[in-house]
Amino acid sequence: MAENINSLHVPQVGLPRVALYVTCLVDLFRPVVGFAAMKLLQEAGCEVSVPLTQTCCGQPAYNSGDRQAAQELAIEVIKNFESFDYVVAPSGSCAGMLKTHYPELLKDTDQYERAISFADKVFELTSFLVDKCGLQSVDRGFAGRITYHDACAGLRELNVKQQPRALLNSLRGLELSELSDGEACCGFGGMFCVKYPEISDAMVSKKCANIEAANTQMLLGGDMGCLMNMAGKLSRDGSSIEVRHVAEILAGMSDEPPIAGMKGPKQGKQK
Amino acid sequence: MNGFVKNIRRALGVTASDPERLEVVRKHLDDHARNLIPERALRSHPELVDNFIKMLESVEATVAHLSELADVASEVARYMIVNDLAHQLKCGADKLIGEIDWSEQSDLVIMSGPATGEDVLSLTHAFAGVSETGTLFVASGPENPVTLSFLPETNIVLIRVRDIVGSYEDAWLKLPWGTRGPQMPRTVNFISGPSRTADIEQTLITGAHGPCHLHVIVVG
Amino acid sequence: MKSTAGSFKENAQDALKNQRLQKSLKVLGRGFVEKRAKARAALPEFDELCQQGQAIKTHTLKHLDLYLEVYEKQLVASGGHLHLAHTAADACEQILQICRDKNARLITKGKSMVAEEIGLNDHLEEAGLRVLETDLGEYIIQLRNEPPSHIVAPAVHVGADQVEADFRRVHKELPAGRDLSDPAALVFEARNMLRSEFINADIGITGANFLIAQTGSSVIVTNEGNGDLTQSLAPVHIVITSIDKLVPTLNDTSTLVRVLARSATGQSITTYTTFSTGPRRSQDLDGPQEYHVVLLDNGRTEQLAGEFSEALRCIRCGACMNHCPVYQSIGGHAYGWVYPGPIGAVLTPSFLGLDEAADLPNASSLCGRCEQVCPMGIKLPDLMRKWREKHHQGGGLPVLVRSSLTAWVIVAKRPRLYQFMTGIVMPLLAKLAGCKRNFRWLPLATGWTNSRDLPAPSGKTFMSLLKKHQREGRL
Repeated sequence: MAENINSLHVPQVGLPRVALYVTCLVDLFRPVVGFAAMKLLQEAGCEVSVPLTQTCCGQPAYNSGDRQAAQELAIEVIKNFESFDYVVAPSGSCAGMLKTHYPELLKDTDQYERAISFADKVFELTSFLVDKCGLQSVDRGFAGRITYHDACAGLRELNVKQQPRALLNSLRGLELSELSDGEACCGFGGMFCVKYPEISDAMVSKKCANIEAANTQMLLGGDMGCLMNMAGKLSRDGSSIEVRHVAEILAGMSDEPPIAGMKGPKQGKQK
Repeated sequence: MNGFVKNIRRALGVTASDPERLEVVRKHLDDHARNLIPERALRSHPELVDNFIKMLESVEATVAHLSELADVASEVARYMIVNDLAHQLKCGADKLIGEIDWSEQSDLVIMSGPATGEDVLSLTHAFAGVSETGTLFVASGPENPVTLSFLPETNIVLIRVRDIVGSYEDAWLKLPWGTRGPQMPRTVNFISGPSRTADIEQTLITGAHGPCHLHVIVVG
Repeated sequence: MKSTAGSFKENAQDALKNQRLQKSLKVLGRGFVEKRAKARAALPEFDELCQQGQAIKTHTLKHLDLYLEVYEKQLVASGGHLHLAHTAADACEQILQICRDKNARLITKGKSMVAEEIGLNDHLEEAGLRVLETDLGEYIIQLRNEPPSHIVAPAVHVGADQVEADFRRVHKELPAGRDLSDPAALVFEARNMLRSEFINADIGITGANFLIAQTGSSVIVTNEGNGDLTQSLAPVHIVITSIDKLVPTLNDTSTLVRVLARSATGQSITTYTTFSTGPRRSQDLDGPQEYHVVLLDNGRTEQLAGEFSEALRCIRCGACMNHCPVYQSIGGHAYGWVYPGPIGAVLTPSFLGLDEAADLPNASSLCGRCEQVCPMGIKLPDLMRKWREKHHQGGGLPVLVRSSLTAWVIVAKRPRLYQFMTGIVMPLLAKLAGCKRNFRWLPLATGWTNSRDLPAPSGKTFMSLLKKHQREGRL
């Protein structure tokens, strides 16, 4: 029975053993991203496992100053994932937490060395596919104009910028239009957006104005938190722009309605 | 200083007599070691001069390159006529400026001394020019009163082409040098263009409190 | 300076509603950001110079006691006077004492953030002195009786039409019909108004961007030339500065000069960089007869010992605030004290305490752009997070935030409970949202739903679906 094992995976001999850190927002809000990530990893030749004991990486606690709770959650994550060759998350923010902040978080504990060697295994999904698996293109099509939001943690902590673009540009028919002031934060910031909602709203308003100005049908990104924030704002403003996680389009899994949206793909057509 | 320094030592967890720290500091001060010098400051002298002029012009200064000191007086006169300036000039008792032959500019009034609020034009001498940013090094002294660089509406600066160097580090070597470093005058002014401000709506306007115009005469 | 950091939230809300401020901030966001990017691109060695600059600052701070001793020796040898101020009050009193000794009436002042930090103008004015700010931006905000809203561009929040109105209000002796419609006319008027003041001043006060141990010099970095007129025309030059400004040598200063203006305004160097060493020499015809340096600690030594020591590397370029999406949204005044933006969020709690300033390090999305552009490599997000830890330890978090966080952590530590609960709640929320697939309002989430829709979950969680697929043999 599934409940009696620690992780679910399809064993295949000799392939890199990748654990999917699905992230809580994907788990709770948009499972299709998790399945899309699994599909992409398997297509790239990985043996994918999903440790079932995963919950939250502890980032909300860490950024709220609750170091102890964050440490406890970090140790759990490390324990559950360190036996794999790689740990991949469809989120720059969570991957950044595991990779760059766990060592800092655990530096004064006896878990530091463990956190360091764990950190070496952690990757954000698109950068893992490109930088580690050597994937240069995805053999799919997508007819439509999209724009891409670089989420801050992926961009600045993990140097995720070219990798999603390389994969997206390989999709037949896809046209990528860049956002003006593209490296600016969308105003999500985890708890920030609920602690300082007016400032967060000002930030997401600017971001959405730039998204509208990019004149595309779809906004993609690699982080559910930011995508939910922007999708929620676009929806409130009555925008027709669809918002999706980049993995959905790369994996050809865009049947699910877009984030905060009712209908399936309106303009972009998966081929 | 004692209490101050004691607090700092307590904060750093160090003692006054730690020979290793003393040695590190002594060495750092005595070695005159240079940090990274940008490649653009290490090029051939003609390239350095070209860039010096280009950089100055990019910050709204005007530049005249003359081959002889003998041509300076007529260049100054030309500048005054073109810019419709009264034919009077304030300068210090600078040796190089003293060598200028003004005899053909008989209607030019040349005054010596520090600037007053009434002076509209000054002539100063830069002891070095830095190519990497088009920066003039002007040292204050009896021969080069500091106010000449700031009070008059127009400042003409004379610099010899051989005094144009690549980097700030090279320029400091043009001052008289002691064991710990250059013998500092009261002020050394790095000047890169006429005064400016962008304090109103980020609009760049030249001529804030210092000179509105900076004309550089490169000689040699 | 009196703090309003305690009412940060209200300040921020006011700022967001202030259309005029929003307009100014838009200009700032574009201008400084683009100019810095261009300047960085134009100098291939920029990043390496920044790293060397950081190393210089770190080295100096590590040997600060020794460099200070060398600096003092050199300063005294060149004929200058050093005054040590442990606190802001000490510094104000020492400066006032010098002014009294000289029977000074008119003080001209170059831009100095340390002077703002110690509230110098108020102190001198209360003692009956006339203090005149000469940097154009500072002059404008002095006329408006406002604090600076930016450490490099103090009047960045003020529009040209407002400056015009202020000049008409204050420069009453000038003809009423004069044309002040363009910024150049405003600059020209300020220039003319201040000329005689420079010449008549009894004392000129400047700050310092750097102090050089090797030569005992102080350095100011300016564009207008006001600092030079301030310090050259008055008979007495007082430098008010702080211990973190120390740099070992002229060569080290060169490295920092290369990165300062590029980071601040995108200039390759400011128009003026002035090295002052002692008073005028015996043969000199101008320059101040006395040179005093008031060196402020004000908690910096304590900071040196603690976990925020790297913030002492700051060279006050303002790049962090120029690039900060929060600063770009609310401007500098909302931060409520001298230093706004990310560096302010790190410094202000050490000066004022967390009771007053806890909002500052919390009001950040930790997007990391400040750290990316900081030429001194200060890990501003990490330092803000450290303040949050102290805030949390001190029980400062709002009850609702604290309790929901605690509940989340309790559940997150128990994977079975987590999966059980989320397995029930998420499909329920999805049903509740219905075919709209988002919430326009949700209790406890109004911070979000007041201005944007909250996307609803798809339905079942990933974990439940995964197990289902496995049971069905689809994996």
